[in-house]
Amino acid sequence: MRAFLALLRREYLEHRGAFLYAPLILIGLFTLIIFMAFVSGHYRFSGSAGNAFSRIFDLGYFAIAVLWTGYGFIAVFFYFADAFNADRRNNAMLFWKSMPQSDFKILLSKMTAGLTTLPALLFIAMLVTGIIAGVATLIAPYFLPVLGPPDPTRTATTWAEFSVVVLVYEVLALLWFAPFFAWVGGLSTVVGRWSIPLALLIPVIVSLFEGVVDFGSAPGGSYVLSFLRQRTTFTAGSQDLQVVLFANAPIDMPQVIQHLLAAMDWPSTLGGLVFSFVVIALASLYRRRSLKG
Amino acid sequence: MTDSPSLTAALPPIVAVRGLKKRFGRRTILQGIDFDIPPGRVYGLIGHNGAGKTTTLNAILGLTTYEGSVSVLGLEPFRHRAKLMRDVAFIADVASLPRFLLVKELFQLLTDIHPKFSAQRAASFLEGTDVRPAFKIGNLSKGMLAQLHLAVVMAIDARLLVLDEPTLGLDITYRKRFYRRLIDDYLTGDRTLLITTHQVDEIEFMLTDIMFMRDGRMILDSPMAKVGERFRQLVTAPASVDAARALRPVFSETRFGQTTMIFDGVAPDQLEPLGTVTTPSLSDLFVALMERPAEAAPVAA
Repeated sequence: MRAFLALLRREYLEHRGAFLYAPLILIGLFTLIIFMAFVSGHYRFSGSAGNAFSRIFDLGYFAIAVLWTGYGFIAVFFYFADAFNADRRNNAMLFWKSMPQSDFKILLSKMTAGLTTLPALLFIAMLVTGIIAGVATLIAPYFLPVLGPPDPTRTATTWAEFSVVVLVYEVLALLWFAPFFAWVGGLSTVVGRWSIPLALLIPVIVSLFEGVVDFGSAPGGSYVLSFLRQRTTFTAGSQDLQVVLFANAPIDMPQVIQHLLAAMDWPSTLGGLVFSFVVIALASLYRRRSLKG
Repeated sequence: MTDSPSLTAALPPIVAVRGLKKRFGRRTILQGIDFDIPPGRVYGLIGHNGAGKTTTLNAILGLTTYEGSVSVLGLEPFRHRAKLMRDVAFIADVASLPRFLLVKELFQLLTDIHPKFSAQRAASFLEGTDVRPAFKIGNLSKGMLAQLHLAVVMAIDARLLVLDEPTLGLDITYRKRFYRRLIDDYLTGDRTLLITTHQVDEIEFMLTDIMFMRDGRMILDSPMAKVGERFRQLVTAPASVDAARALRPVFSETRFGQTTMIFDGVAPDQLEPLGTVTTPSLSDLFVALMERPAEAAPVAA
């Protein structure tokens, strides 16, 4: 276990640029922008007065969560395209092979890091950004009295409850999309960064081949594409959830989490995790036989 | 490290190789080689580029598939590489250390993933060098990388150390320091070292055994002491050349009016009347034995 945790830490050290330094820079820029807005007086509010204060943080934090989640999924995608191939750089594969750790364990640590510790760093970045936004919201009524009186308790409650909802959402989304990340990582073990186009190209070619064989008689034109269309739709992020989030009322955290859990297609998620495990096992077999991969 | 061959040969070999073959496509790299490496010995594996040295080492280290039988510390290397690496350390390329780490991060990582690595010992090996714990590995010079990598492998309490061209690209000062450090601080009676290099003269002093490879075959596998008994170098004048050739030298070269020949298994008293007899250096012997049959014709002055 100690070795596995060290390998997770190694992934953090190797990719801290995308998962620590870049988020810190973004948080710094965000803070600077807010600070400059207050200092310079370049701010504007257009909307109805009255309960504006209670909604401004809700919507602001929602936007922050969407942006960080988007950044996170892009960063994790590129992490998988890079990390499974990173040991090849500068002949470092020879060094890693000189360690008493199996190829499977090393690849599993990369997969685990990509689905846990590294997204967790971005989640923490979201929490910090939310705190900065919360403080800015509490200060804002002094500059914009139309917002109404500040409500620190409500702001803190919203921050905490919404953070838990986003955490559950991201965990479920990572579980749901794990097979896609594993697919990119597995390809990366063999072809390096060419895994990025190939991860998309291979299913397209397979579906084209399928069309040639059965003349497009499959429902939706292709069984492969239909399956992928279904599998790339994250049902837990459905409209119902958005309705709850945008309702003009405090977030009902238990209800939202219950909704998220109920909306998950668990058998498909489990199947995806089994697929991920198989891909990692196959990639480790390739890596075991190749000093390049 | 100075145990006699007869003593160490009685112990089970650290490495036992039988009928080792390796093919890349249609090309056969290793032609079915056999050898044993007993514990506590320093073996030099010497050969031209492409002779099959690195492929042999890769088979021993479990880095490649092969035909035949290889046993290292009683384990089949390819199947049990991770387990084997607890007791085997190797440097295949000094530039292979992960460059994104600081030196201290590397030591911490190794402490956690290698049960026989001691960060304290590694740090002590780096004393007196320019390498500092806060340095980023990617910013180190090649000489500093070699010092760091050597410190890392010496800090692993391994039974077998394999070095594949460990000083490639280093200047003479670093090379000498590298080997001196290895002998002074690492080699003890129960440790075995297998090393390949092109700079044969630089490692000759530390070897107990020598293996020459040519075209995927082992053409010499002998304790150094026996090499001195078996091979003789004769420098002879033109008048004695024909008489010397009659003794069937394995190598002959004529330059500036003098002919140098190397003999395998010819008694010194047969050679001494024909000229000056010495023991050939390892590099002379290497040149002599590495010549393929078509190249073995005497070179005219």
